Parts: sequence; structure tokens; C-alpha cells
Amino acid sequence: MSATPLVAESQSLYSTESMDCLLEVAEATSFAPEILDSVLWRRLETMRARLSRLISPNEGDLINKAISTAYDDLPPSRQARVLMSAEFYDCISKISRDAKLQKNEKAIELEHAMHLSVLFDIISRERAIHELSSNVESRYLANCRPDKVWSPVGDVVAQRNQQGVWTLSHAPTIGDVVAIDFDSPLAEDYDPRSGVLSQTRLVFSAEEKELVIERLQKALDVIDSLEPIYGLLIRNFVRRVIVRKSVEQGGVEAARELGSGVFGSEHVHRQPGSIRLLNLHLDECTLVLCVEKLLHESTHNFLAAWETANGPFVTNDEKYRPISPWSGNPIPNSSLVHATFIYYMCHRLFEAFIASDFGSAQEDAERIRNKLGLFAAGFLIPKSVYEQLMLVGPPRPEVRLTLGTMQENIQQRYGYSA
Amino acid sequence: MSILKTLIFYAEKNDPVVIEAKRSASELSQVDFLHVDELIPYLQNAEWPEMIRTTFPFKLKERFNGALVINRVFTLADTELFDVLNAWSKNERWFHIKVQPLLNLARQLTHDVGLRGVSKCLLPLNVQWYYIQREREDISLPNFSYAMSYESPKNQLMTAPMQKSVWSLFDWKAERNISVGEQRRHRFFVESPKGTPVICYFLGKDTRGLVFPRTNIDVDEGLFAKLADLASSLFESALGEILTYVEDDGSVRFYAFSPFMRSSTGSASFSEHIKTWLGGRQATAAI
Repeated sequence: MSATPLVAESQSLYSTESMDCLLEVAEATSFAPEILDSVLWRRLETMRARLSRLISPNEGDLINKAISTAYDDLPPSRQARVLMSAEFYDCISKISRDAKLQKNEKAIELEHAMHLSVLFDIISRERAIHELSSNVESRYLANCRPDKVWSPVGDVVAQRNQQGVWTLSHAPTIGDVVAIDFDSPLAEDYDPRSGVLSQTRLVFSAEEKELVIERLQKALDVIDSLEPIYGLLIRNFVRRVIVRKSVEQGGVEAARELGSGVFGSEHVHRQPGSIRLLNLHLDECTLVLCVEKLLHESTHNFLAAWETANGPFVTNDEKYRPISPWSGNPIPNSSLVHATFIYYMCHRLFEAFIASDFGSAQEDAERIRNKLGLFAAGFLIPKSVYEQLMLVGPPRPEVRLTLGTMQENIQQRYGYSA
Repeated sequence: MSILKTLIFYAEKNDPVVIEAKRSASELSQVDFLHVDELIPYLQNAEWPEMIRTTFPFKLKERFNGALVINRVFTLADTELFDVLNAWSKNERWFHIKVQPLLNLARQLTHDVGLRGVSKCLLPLNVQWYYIQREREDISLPNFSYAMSYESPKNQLMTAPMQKSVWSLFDWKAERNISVGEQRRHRFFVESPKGTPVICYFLGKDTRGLVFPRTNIDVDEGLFAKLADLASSLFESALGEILTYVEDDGSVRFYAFSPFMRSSTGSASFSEHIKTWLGGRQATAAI
């Protein structure tokens, strides 16, 4: 199945409004491909609806009209690329948030204008890249000061040479569609809430970049081979893998002594379609680690897409964070719900991993078994995962049942009763 | 009514409950002690999915069977078992999973499974406050801020914010138990306590004592009894201590619950209370 059939209309027969469908994907049943498609479609439709709620072409000021015109000028496939990009979601979630902030009117207006100009820029960049692909240098590029302009989804770069000529190049990809991003503005961002983007930014050598791409491609090959549905999930829901280098080769011990996470990885809800990984160039980074990280963070992207279309699993109050029975760390409620799906799916994949030729090397086998032990442990501690949630409002009614089903399945698999 | 046989299952050699119980052991019948290291001979390293093979003998199971088990295994730090699990590259969680069948044999347990954060008796401070607030809105709790990742803490509403580890329950003069990671990430600040610290410990439903680490003051014992009952029920612990501060206007602010009983051990009555409580436990008595 192609990962980018974003222009046709959704044809799915399987209702994806209930969390039950997520279990079908976790178990990779025969319904899973249809569900993955349907969730992707519903996310696209939700994004389109959010944009039309924010921008009214016939009302409002110049910037509103300009955004509308620039967007309408794009062919549908390009519109879909904008709507599904992490940058777009990040921007519109800030616009929606502005309205809720208790600030004075002037401050709200200024902030709103700033985010709208970012939105205009996002759409204009896709437009410029579209025009350049037909050898037309857009007014956007003609007025552009930086030498590089990235597509919002992070897969294409327009670059100006010393003679002022713009050409297009493609970011390296894995699985043909997932861009690996070492140095876009999004990858170079500083975010204090991020375990990855708050870390020192060191420059990758060309060899290190090659190595990272090779490792991620190999990890995806392993996933494709062990569970093609999970490979499909990654291709459908991850458009961009942001990789940061914060530690030089040989610096792992020292970084750990400082309390820094060396192999941090994350997904953030306001940037769906992108995941962030740290230090995959290091010698200590193994195939087993890459497989886990790639599936783990991609599953976050999938679950977040479902939440975007159907509403959140649970609400969060960051002052109160339940403790993950897997890591022992305080994490938000939504992360604990995600974690349950993720460890369930990782456990399922790693059971296939250990039984495969990929897991036959002794060192890898030991790593896989250790990971299996870790994935299972959180389910086997005689405590209900659901009961760990610190709810501030009622959760979706299926949350208890869905989490309970996964926990019971693992308990049965290991011969433990609840 | 017969005396309920009792097993004190523990990990920390200096555990106050264990020390006091051992001191009185000669005067008590049917009180048995089991240190976690004594289980090592019955554990073997195993590969996934077994992870740890257990061969608990009948005699060992009998010690748990039908007993009141005073489960004091809150941390494996400084035990031989900790080193054994490390040598086997086995996470502590697997020890708790594997020992659960023994705990299941107990007639009564004083605490739920001893795993930090997951066990109700070992919750971090802010989680304790969440449960208290949810149950009783009228109990005063500390003002606090909890930053996400490396973001700056929002301490504007506090007059004297104090950086704490969420896991450090009773260290309120100066924080001595904060990890390097916690100092920099997910920073947790609490308004420094004001007033006079008062600790109330409880053993079962009926035995309580007050401890004044700094100054003796008059307090409403009924209020402390209610707070102790609430902590016992919310944190699923038959034994424990709570730390409060009585402020200048006489109001009481709850700071923490701890199952460790480290602050109670210095009080004159604690030793006697442990002996009385252990001596008075009966098969049908609620603990």
C-alpha cells in the first residue's frame, strides 16, 4: 500500500472511533491495514477542518486572505502534505492555544499575528517548492535570505548556490518515504521541554550521517520482515525522523555521569508525523536499540493521530504524573496510556525478533531477551496499569477495558493471574 | 482468640520496625523474621521468559501461609540480593513479580507490593497530595511547582520555594536526597514548610503516637487520628508515619506519608507501641 494516497476520498468500512481498533493494529489482525488507512484519513480530514475553522477567506484581514489564497493555489496532494506536516500541527495548536491564554488583548493580537505569519510561511514554502519542481522560481524564493528552504514535511529542500540558482534536493529517507532530518530549522530548534532538543547540538560528520541512515534503514527492514503491519504503521504515520548528536564517540560515560540521557527519544503531541532520536551514531547504539526506538516513537505518532481524529484518551494535569511501571519515571497520563500500547506492541515484535534469524547472534539475542523482560515487567507487576492513572476528568470509557485487555493478555502469556 | 502468626519480611538491616520487633522478640510468640537475602538460595538466573527461576521450599512457603506478613521490602539497596540481581542483569521488578506468589499466601499484608511509585505505600510527594486532595478537599497541602523536562520552574506564587526530590519524603530542613538528574530535569519546588513539625505514626487501627522533632506543642489528637486513618487507607499501609506542620494560626498542613518509620523510631513510646501492637495482634483483629 502506498503511504501517500492522500488525494482520494476515504473508503474505510471499519469504524475507527472506538479504541478497539487500536488493539486490532497492535495484534496486526487482518483489519489492521484498513484501520491504519482510515486513521490517517481521519487525521487529514481533521486537519483540513481545523484549518478552515481558523482561516476564513471572506472575512478578516490581509494575512487571513493571503493564507487562504496560497493554500487554495496548491494542488490537493500538496495541501495534504502541508496538513500532515509536524510544522503545520505545531503552528495551529499554538494559534488555538493563544485564544485560551489569559493575556491582554494587544498581547493576544501580536502573538496571533506571529503564528499566522508562520502559517503563511509554512504554506508558502510548500508552494515555492511546488513551483520550483516545475522550474519556476517563486517570489518567495526570490525574496528569501536563507540559502535553504525546507518543505514543511521535511523531505525536500530548495537550495541556492553561489550563483543564486535554486535547485531541489531530497532529504535522505528510509523505507522510501520517511525523511531523516539532521539539520532543518525544526531539527536545530531548542526546546526546554524536550529531552532531545534541549541537548547540546553537535555537527554530524558525513560518515556519521551515513551510519545513522544505515542503522535506521536496517531497523525498518527488521520490522518490515517481522511484522509488515508495523512497517506500514511507520510509513503511514512517520514522515520525519529528527536526529540530534549531543555526545561525541567515546563520551557516553561522561554524559551519563552528568545525568544526561544519551539515547533519548521522543514524540511530541503537537508535532505528529515526526519523531526525535538522540545519538544514533554512537558505537553503543545497537540494532536492537534502533528497532525498539523506531517502533516505540512511531507508535506514539500513530496513537496521537488517532487522538487528533477522535479526541484524547485522557486529560493531563502535568503537576500530577503517574509513575510508569516500566521505567519508574513520573510521566503524564496520556504518556502512560501510550506506553501501554507501545510496550505491548514492542513485546509482540520482540517475540518475533528472538525467534528470527536477526536475533540469532548471541549478543543480540541477549539484548532482545532483556528487552522482552523489560516490556513484560510493567504488565506483570501485580498492579493494574489503569489504576495508576491520575485522572482529573473522566477518561474515554474504553481506556480501562483496552489497557486491561493488554495487561491480561501479557499476564496470561506468562502464566500470571491478575 | 489465637495469636496470628506473623512474618516480618524485610530488606533494610536498620529498619526501625525490625529492630524494635527483634528487641521484643523474646517476649512475643510466633513472630518470625525473613531477610530478602535469605531467599537467594532459592533464586536462579534464567533466560526470558522465566527471567528468574524460583524454587521456594515448602517450609518457606509455610512461613508466609496464613500469616500476617509485615512486608518491609521497600528497596533492595544495600542487600546482597541487589548485587545478585545486578550480576544477572535482572531488573528489581522481576524480583517483586517472582516473590508475589509468596505474598499471596499471606492472610494479611501490611503494605502492598514494594515497588517505588507503583506501590501505593511508596508514592512520590505530589502523587500523595493528589490522592489526599481527591479524597478530602479540606486538608491543607503544600503549594508546589513541577516543571516538565528542562523548562524553568514556575515559582512565582511561592515565597520560599525549596527544591525537592519528589521521592524524598521527610527531608524538609534541607534536601539531601536529590539525584543529579532531578536537580536539572523535571525540577520540583515546594513552598518551604512553616511552623512546627509534628509526626504521627500508626500501627494498625488503634495504636498511634505523636512525635515532636523540634518543639512540643498542644495538638488536636483527634485530627491526627483522622489524618493517620486517611493515610492508612489511601496508601494501603497498616503501618506508617505522617509528617505535618502546625502553622502559627494553629492550622495543620500535611506534607508526607512514609512507610519507613524512620522519624518515629526516636520517640520514647515507639518501642513500647511496637511491642504492644505485635503482642496484641489476633487472628480476627483488623490490622
